[in-house]
Amino acid sequence: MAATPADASSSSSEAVVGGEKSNKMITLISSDGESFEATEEAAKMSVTIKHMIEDGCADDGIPLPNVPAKILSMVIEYCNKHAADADDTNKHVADPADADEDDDNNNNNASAGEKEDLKSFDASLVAVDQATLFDIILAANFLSIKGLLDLACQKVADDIKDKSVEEVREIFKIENDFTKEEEEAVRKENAWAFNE
Amino acid sequence: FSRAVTLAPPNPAAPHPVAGRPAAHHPRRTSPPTPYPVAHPDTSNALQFRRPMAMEEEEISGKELLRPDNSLAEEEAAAAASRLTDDLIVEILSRLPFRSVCRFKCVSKPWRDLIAHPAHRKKLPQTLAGVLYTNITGAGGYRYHLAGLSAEADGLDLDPSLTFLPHTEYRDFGLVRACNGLLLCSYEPEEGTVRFIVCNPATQRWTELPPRPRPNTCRYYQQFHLAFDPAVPSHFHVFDFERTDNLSITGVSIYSSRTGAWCQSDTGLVEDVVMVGQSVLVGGMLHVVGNLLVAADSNNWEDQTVLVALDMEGKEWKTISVPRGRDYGIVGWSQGCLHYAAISPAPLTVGVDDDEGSLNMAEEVAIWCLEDYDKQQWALKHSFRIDKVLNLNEVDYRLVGFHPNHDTFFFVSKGIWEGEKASLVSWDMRRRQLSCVLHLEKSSVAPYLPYVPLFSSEPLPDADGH
Repeated sequence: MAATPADASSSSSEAVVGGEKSNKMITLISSDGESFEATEEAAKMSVTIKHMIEDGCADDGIPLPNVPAKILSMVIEYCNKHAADADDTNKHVADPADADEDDDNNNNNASAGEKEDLKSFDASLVAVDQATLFDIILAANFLSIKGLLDLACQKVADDIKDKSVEEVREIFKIENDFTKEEEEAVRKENAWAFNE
Repeated sequence: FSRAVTLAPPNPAAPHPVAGRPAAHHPRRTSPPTPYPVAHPDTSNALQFRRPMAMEEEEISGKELLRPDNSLAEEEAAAAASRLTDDLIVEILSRLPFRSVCRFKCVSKPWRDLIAHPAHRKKLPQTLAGVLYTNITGAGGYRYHLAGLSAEADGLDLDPSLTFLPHTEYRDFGLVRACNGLLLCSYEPEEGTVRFIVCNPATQRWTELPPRPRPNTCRYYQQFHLAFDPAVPSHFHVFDFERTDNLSITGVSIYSSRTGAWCQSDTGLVEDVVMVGQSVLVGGMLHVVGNLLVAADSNNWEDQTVLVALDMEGKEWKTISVPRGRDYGIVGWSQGCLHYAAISPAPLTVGVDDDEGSLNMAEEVAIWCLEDYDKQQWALKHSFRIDKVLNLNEVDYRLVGFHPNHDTFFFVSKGIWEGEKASLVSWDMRRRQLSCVLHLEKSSVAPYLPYVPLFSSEPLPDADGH
């Protein structure tokens, strides 16, 4: 199954504002053997893939043994959506120094509506079960896609912020290896952090 | 049932003294004999299930819905969770508030060790390490100290003495402000010019700001402020307010470390306001304690304390009224809310041992919390009679600030007789008692700056200027 980018602007744009972009399609192969296509621009949101393209390793398709198809298709959706946005605001997502609040106010070619649209897209992308969310984190880490890693980690953090210790153990499938005394001691030290 | 999986331990090569650490791969156990229940059957993990957007063509089989009795989904969740590396766990934890991170030390020993590991301080939220202050040595020089608040502060590699900074030999070198781990210092290389240094005592990085294009004619340290938001860690701002001789603000020059330049703005306030106190950064705006002159009638003017809020560009200005106090008070950010402490105009608490005489001498610290920022609605959170805590015939005091994570308020008390040492006192609001008294070095002076360390290398350059 090949998921071609439905609404990526780069497939129709010929003239380009600043910098060169190609309309070349890159093939990405999931761990379970499915092929996906993405524009080079979207694929380069992954610093890992960007380096492979630049090193000339991308010609026959890029195998991604760590990323299953279900996750890869979500990652590509993210990259398509955000590559289009980066195009609009002339931002290079891989450079964290550019991602700052002042830019949003001063250097914003994307309208407020487009920003809202992006926010709600992001929110739906990560509104998934924990296993999928963890898989997204692993994939974003492996592929070096900072924005997606930030998004997914923030979602997990938001989910667990007010949870109890027992609930967190369940979510992360962690066994409690404290003895009763040890656990009491740590709880006592941090008593203020628990709900009275 | 679910398979319990232990989290992979931190890198065995790291110098962390834990005995009996297993090898890098983690053993999977079945049916562990846990003494405590790992999961309550009715605990909803708030696990949201939504079909991933790209999957329209595929049918979601019954297997993929997460139900407590569904072992395949549990297996998948367990597998995914177990693949998360320590770095990724830290990435998640770094986005939590300090309170949550403290609680999760109890999750397991690997998590406890991960949270405590010095290497992760750069990312994990920190808490108040103590209060920075200055003292005057016998030789007349200034020294800088940290009154450290807990054993944790000792384990931190901080240099509050600022010996790593240049220009400390200048007579007027002073520690002025602290904001989320960065410090603002000023000095006068020559009469009439002020230079600023922003530094981080935890990383020993510092940078000297370029001089203002148009020097400020009227200088008084209260008018310098520092704004740094750890959520926007790549840069900071320094504010140098301008005023005429009658002290009210005429404008401000703001330095941005992103542009490397000063930018001047005229005041956006209609009213006459004097900046008198310290500041706090909230919602991307600097909030400074100021004094507004209000006409009571045609002949009389009243002081009214306000917070002057302005953005990092100096474009958006507004004032927020604060509850009336005998004098201006202290503003701070604690537990997600803006707080303000001041001496109440009249005592609020009357004790059984009070009579008219003692009530005349009463001094009540009132602590307010801004419940509704937009409506400027303050709620009285707490108050206490400081004249019952201190003997005001023998000591003076000054209000210092709020603990960011607890209901604790700090003040400094000092004996009125010459040569007496001051103490940093913590007042526990919940227990209504003193929780800590720290003695300070002799001849300590303001400013007393609550300090939360920042271990990240941003936004200051290293020794080579990177």
